Amino acid sequence: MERQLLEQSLADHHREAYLWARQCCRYDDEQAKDVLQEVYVKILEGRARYNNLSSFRTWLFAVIRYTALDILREKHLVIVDEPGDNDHPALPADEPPDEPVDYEALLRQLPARQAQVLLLAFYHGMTLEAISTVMDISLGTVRTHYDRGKKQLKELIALNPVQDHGRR
Amino acid sequence: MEDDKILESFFDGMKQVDAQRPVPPFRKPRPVRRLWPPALRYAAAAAVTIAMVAVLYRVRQKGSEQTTPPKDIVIVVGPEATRTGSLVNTSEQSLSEWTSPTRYLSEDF
Repeated sequence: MERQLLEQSLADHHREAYLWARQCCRYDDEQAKDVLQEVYVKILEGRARYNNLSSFRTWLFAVIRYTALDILREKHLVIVDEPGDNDHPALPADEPPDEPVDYEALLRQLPARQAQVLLLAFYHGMTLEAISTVMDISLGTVRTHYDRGKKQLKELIALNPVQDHGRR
Repeated sequence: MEDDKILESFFDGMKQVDAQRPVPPFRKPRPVRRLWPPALRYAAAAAVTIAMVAVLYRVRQKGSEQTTPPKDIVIVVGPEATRTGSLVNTSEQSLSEWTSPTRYLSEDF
C-alpha cells in the first residue's frame, strides 16, 4: 500500500483506532495516545505491513492490540491479555458500589479477553471471524469468550443497574 | 435475543458517552531521518571487523617472523671433476705421463 493511501486510511480510522487503543489500555488516555503513536510509526516505517488478508480496519485493530500489550508489558503495567482468567471476574462483582457505576468500571470487572471480545462485537460491530483475527485466537475460543462475557456482563448489569446507562 | 438487546443498549450508551470524549487529532509521525541507514551501518560494521582481522593477522605474522632464527647457508666449493661419463671418477693420464708407483724400487736397485 502506498504511503499516501496508508496515511489516508489511518486518518479515516483514527477516531475508532484511538477508542480501541484506549480500551486496550484499560481506558487510560495517555497510554492510548502513546500506543497509537507507536502504531502509526510502526505502520508508516513499514515495521507492520498490511497484507490484504483481512480488512484494513481489522488489521489495524490487531496491530493496536499487540502494541498495547507490548507497551504495557515494557512498562510493567497491567497485562491486558492475561490468559487463564476466563472463568473469574477480575474484581469481585458482589460488592455493592458506593458510586454510580459507569460502563468502563463494569467492563473492568470482566476478564480482559472477554471484555475485549464484547467490545469488538458490540461496540465496534465486528464479526466473530474478524475478532478472531484481531485477537489472534481461534473462532471457537472467541465464541467461548463471547458467550461467557455476555453472561457475566448481564449479571454485572443486573447487580449494578446503570441508570440512564451511566451517563456522566 | 432479549439478552443481546440489553447488551446492545449497554454498548450504545457507552458509545454515546465516548462520542463526547475528546480524541487527539491525527498526527502523522515524522519519518525519522537516520544519518546512517541500517544497511550502511551493517556494511560499516563488517568493514571495520574485516580491517581489524587483517591488522591482527599482519601483527601476528610480523611477530612470528621476528622469532624464527635466521638460517645459515653453507656453500661448499670444491674442484670440478672432469666428466668421464663413468660412475667412478679416475684421473685420465696418457701413457707418457704415467709413472709407476714402484719406480723408486728399481731406481734404488
